[in-house]
Amino acid sequence: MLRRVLTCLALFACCTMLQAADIVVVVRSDSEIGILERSDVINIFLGRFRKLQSGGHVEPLDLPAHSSECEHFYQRLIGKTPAEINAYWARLLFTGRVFPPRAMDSQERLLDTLLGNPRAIGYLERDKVDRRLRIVYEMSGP
Amino acid sequence: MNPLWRRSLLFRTVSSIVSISLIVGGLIMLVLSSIVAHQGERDAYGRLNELLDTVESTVRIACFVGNEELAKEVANGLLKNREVSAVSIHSDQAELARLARNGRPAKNGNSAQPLERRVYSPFDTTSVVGRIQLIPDIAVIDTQVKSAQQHMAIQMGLLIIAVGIALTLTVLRQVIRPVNRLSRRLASLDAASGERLKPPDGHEANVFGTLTQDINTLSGRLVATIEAEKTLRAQHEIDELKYRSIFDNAESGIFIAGKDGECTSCNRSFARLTGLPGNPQQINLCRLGWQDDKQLAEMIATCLAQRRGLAEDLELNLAPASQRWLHVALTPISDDTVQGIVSDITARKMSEMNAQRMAITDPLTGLPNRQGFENRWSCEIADHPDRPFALLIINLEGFKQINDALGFPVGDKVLTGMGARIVTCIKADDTVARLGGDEFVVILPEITKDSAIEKVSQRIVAKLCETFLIDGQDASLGASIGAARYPRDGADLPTLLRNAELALAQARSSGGRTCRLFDQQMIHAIEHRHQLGRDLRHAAERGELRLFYQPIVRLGTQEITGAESLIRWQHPGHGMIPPDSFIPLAEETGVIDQIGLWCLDTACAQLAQWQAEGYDFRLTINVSARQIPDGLPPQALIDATGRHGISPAKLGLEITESVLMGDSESVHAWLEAVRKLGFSTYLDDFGTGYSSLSYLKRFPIDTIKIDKAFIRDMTATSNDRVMVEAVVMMAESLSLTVVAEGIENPDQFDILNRMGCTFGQGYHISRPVPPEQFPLPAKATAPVIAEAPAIVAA
Repeated sequence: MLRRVLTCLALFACCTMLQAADIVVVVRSDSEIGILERSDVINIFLGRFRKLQSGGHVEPLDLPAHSSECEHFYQRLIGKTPAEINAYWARLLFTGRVFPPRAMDSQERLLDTLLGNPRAIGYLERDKVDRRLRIVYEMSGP
Repeated sequence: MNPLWRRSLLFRTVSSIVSISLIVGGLIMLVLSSIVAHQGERDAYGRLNELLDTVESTVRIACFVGNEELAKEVANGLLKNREVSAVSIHSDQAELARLARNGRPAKNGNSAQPLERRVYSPFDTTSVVGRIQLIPDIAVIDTQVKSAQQHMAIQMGLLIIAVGIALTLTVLRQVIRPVNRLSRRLASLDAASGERLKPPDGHEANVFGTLTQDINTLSGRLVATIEAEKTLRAQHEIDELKYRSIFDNAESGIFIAGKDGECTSCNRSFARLTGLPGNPQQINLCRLGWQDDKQLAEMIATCLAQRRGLAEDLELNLAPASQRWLHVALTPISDDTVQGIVSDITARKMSEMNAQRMAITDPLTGLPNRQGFENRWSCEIADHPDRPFALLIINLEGFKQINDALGFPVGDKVLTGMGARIVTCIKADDTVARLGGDEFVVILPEITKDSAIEKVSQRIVAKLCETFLIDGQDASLGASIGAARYPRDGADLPTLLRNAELALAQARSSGGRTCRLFDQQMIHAIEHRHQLGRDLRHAAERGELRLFYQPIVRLGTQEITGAESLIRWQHPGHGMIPPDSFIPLAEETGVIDQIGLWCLDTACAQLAQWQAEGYDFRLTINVSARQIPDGLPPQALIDATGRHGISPAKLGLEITESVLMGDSESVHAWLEAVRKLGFSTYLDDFGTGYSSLSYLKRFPIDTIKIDKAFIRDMTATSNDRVMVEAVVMMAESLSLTVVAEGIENPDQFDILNRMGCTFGQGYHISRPVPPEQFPLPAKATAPVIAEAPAIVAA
């Protein structure tokens, strides 16, 4: 009985972990930003471009570096830890020309900001996405 | 051996080492320096690449975000390195930074190869986000390279110097010094005394030890060879002395001469033989005064050309009228030298020439003999076949009698004198020779006219017939000459001689003291004679011979007492041939023996027939000189009479005086023998020859027959009559019977009868007649005479 319970708990835990890893890149549903490639996402979030090819400006939004979503996002996108991302930005920051994405306190706050700014783009857990938002890039696999 | 050589060896060794080191070191340095340069450059580029590696992550970020500040920062950092002269960084959008040292603008090129890298995204290693170019400072790199090369060169140089010094020292110690020591020892070495060379100290076991041993071995061999050579030379000197002595003292002349005849060496005998001064030098042997200068030169040339020895007799004219014959034998001793041995053969040569002269000279008269004459004139005819001449053969008549009567020394004197007389009759260029016996021959060159020949011949005959004095007495000889002319009477000498002999025979047979020229008729006569001789051989067996009988009568009673048998030849071609014509021929050919036996047999047969018919006749047969003693041996006589049954006393044998003059001993014996057998002997033709009364005394003769020449000329008052009378009287006193031959008339018959000659024969009584005509007396009156031997008429 106990063993069955333990097995169930382990499976659950696994499901939860998988659940937590499923992060998508979203914009406001009426945003002019369309479906993005992985390189587009990298360029936007790591400071290479802040403009779309269509010419529209893009504002990336980040989650706190200690959050698991942030960790998951960068891990999944470019295989780097938040510390490494921080080091990267540190080298650029002193030039004063490029800035990292604006960090939101939480997912809710990020959701708000997204909803309030059509040019904003951010990442959320899939289950936080609702009709107001539109997924432009899905993380494929862990 | 000397310091100079030593220094030279050292110098050469060291300089060789140094120069080889320099050349090899230089080459190595060149190669190394190029390697060093290459290596330095590669090292520099390696360092620059490493430098780029250190800034790569920053450059990636700068290019990723296109951040110029960051790019400039990186570029500045790179320029801190001395080897970098310029840096440029491009993102894929634009140039982010371009910086150069000392404000110089970064130039691409110069001689330095720029270093360029593509810059990848920091997040995606497959996407290129820019590029970075770095230009090295070539001057700095070159400086570094040069510095490295200098280091290397210094090290190398030091190494070469060190090796050179080490090599030089080694050579000096291991080679030069030992060689030097060895050379000093070798210089003071006395190999002849057996001293041995010692190897340099400490080098006994290496190559110097071996070298020392080799030198010792070699010097040992050399010393031995020199010793042997010394011995040989000593031996050679002894030999040389020996041969020199033989050479100098040899009896024969010895010389050595070159191919042109120049004398290089000769001994004393040679000088003496050739009449040269004591020690001749520079003499050409071909010009010593030989009779024929070329002969010796030719001999030398032949000797050298054929590589064989040869010898010849050469005549040397020493002084005017002095000649010497030398026998020169040459032997080749090298390609252009001959050795000659010369001996004096003058004496031998002279005696040879003498003998040669003797062989062709008649020693008695000093004239050429037959041999010399034939030799000379055979050659003369061969050499000048168109030159005519006349050949006379002169025969002395009566010489044999002088020789017989007065002896050979007188005969020789006469011959010499006659030879001299002949010489006075002819010209200087005529030839006289003595053919032998009493025959001389004269050649008269260029004479063709018969009259001229006859003139000369008559002169000779006249001269020879002159009287001369022998032992205080006058004497004279006759001479006959037969002549033949060249080329008319014969093309060669034997023919000419034979034809002249024929002419001579003709001259003699015509009475002598005359001359006859040969003509072809004489040949025919001879041929005829030969034919006759052949026929005569068969005459007896063919029955061509007959005996005729001439009666012999007793003068007082005119009664036939017997007959002389005379031979006749009835030749089928030529008719009756008288005995004068064929008996000499028969004597010459030897047929006379056969004929004599036939006569004997026939006469005996006739006697037997007369005896059977009751007639007591005697018969004589003629016996020629040739038949005595063997042609008609006494045994044959007695056989014949025995066969026919008659008494030997019936048969008389007539011989001539010439028989008695021949071989008197055998004739004497024959006569004695036949008389002992009962045959009587007659001396025929008495008075014609050199009739000597001593013959009558010496030889057993029964009857003499006075020659018809005396009877023919006998008249009442002539000398011949006196002589006949004397002969008759003498015969009577010697108890010899006398028969007179050739009574041709009654006067002769009467005279003879009156002077007391007993028997006679002749045409007056009867010619010789064949047996069937023989005048046989009537049987009734035929007396019977019993006694013998004298012919006594009944």
